[in-house]
Amino acid sequence: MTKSKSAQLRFVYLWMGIILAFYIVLRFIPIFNSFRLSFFKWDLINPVKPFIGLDNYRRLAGDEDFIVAFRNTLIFSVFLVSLSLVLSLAFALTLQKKFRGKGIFETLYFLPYVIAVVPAALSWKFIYDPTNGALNHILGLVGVPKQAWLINDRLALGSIIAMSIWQRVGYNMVIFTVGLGEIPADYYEAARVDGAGVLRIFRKITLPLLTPVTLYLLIMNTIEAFNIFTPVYVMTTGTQSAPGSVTKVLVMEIYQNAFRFFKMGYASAQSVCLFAIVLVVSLLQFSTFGRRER
Amino acid sequence: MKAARTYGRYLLLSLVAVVMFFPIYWMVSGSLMTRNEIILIPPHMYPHAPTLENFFLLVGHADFLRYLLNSVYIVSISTAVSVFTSLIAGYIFAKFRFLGKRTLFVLILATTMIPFQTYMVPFYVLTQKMGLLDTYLGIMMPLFVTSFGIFFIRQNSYAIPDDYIDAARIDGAGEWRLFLRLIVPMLKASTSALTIFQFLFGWKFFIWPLIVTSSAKKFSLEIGLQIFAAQNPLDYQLQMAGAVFGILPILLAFLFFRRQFISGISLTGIK
Repeated sequence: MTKSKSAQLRFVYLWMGIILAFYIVLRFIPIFNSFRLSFFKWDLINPVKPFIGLDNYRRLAGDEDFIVAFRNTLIFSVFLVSLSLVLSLAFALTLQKKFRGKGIFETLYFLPYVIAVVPAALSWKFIYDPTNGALNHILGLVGVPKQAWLINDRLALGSIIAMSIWQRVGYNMVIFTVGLGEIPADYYEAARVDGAGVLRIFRKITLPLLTPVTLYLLIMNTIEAFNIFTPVYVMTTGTQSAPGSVTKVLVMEIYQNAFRFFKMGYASAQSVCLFAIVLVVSLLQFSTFGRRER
Repeated sequence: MKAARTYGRYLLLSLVAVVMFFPIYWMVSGSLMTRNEIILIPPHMYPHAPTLENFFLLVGHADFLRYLLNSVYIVSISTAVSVFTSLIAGYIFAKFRFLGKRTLFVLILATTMIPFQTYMVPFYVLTQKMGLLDTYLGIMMPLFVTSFGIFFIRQNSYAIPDDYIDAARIDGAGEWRLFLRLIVPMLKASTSALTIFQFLFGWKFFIWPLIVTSSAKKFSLEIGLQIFAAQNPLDYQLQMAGAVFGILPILLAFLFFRRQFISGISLTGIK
């Protein structure tokens, strides 16, 4: 028995050692360095990298680009998360019962989620094209004048949000479907016997029992929304696309500072801010919803 | 009344389905048009003279086949590594006791809340120091471990009865053999769910390859497509053909394994 015990220990420490090494190199060191670099004037090309304390953070407070990016990210997140959650719950509820053709609808709604982001964004960019895009053509049939969806600064962010909702809704729907399936049928039965209407059942049974799933989706979607990059990058590159500052988001700002201007220290300070915001928002959501659950 | 409600529901569902499918349809339709057709105003809603010339052009001149192979290579290997590390770590966390277990698990779990974008800058600096910029290994590296995967496998490993494991030990199976022959097969459902999840994640992972890759030889499909589109902003027919190229592998896999995809993704949501 002792021989087997020591074999077990060897197995555990060997593999956990390897996993730990992976984590140290691929996660812990970079995360720690994100904080460390933010206290330095750390230019990729300049060999002199002086410690400057909180200067990067002080500069952030007055940085117009950063503030705009922050505001855009906030707008993006609020709309993407709320609209995609409401829509996907509506889809999941509609597709809950068995009926003919259900599988086809489920597949079609889920499809955008499995599609890579760059192709999807290119297709949307083409649809949004002001001169021969499909959206203007279709809206034109009902008399809506042509719009420059990605160029007009009042429409650009909303247009990117629409595309992101389209990609995100399928995933949320599938997770909501699982949550709905776990609510015992007896509950609905009992409520119906008591004469509760559809809306009342939804408010008193479905929604409260769905809270853990909703909370999970809320936090996951918020983290993803705050870190949005690819659709913005694809749709704002090249001509016929959004002007950079109107749709600039936090990760875009970090990307440009770090890899276009090589100001890695400053970009790290922005990363730390992004991290702090995501953390605070997640904790807030957790405490509000977690408490209501109890 | 009931029939009217049923029709109403189908109508609504179909309307949404059209909106959801339209961008994909539009991509395919555009990819089959010539340049002269795609610039027409008002636009043709379907190709009147469908042609595959755009695809030949992409494969012939723009190296899209190479991008595709790069993507398949990068995503397959990184998915395999991350599924393996998740399996072994998840199983050990669930079934063994060892020094520092709790601390390590909490540390690993905490990183799920920290998205890659927040530490990509130091990651780049580190990759540069390791001399791995613009290498396949460098591109794949961030995907080698996944905290979510470790957590997911750990949860599913609890369902394996300890008696099974002990019985195998008494029969003289070594720990490694035990893991490969007994544990991995018992975790088949969660392994395939995680594989699908990681594969999709890897395929969509854009920002890191964008930063770390500099030579066209190593472009993934996503990067190659984005750069190609930026260089040919007015050739929508070529962009759409490239986009179709970019979605085809996953789309085919999805249509063949639809059930596994959807149930796999739904498995990953349960905690």
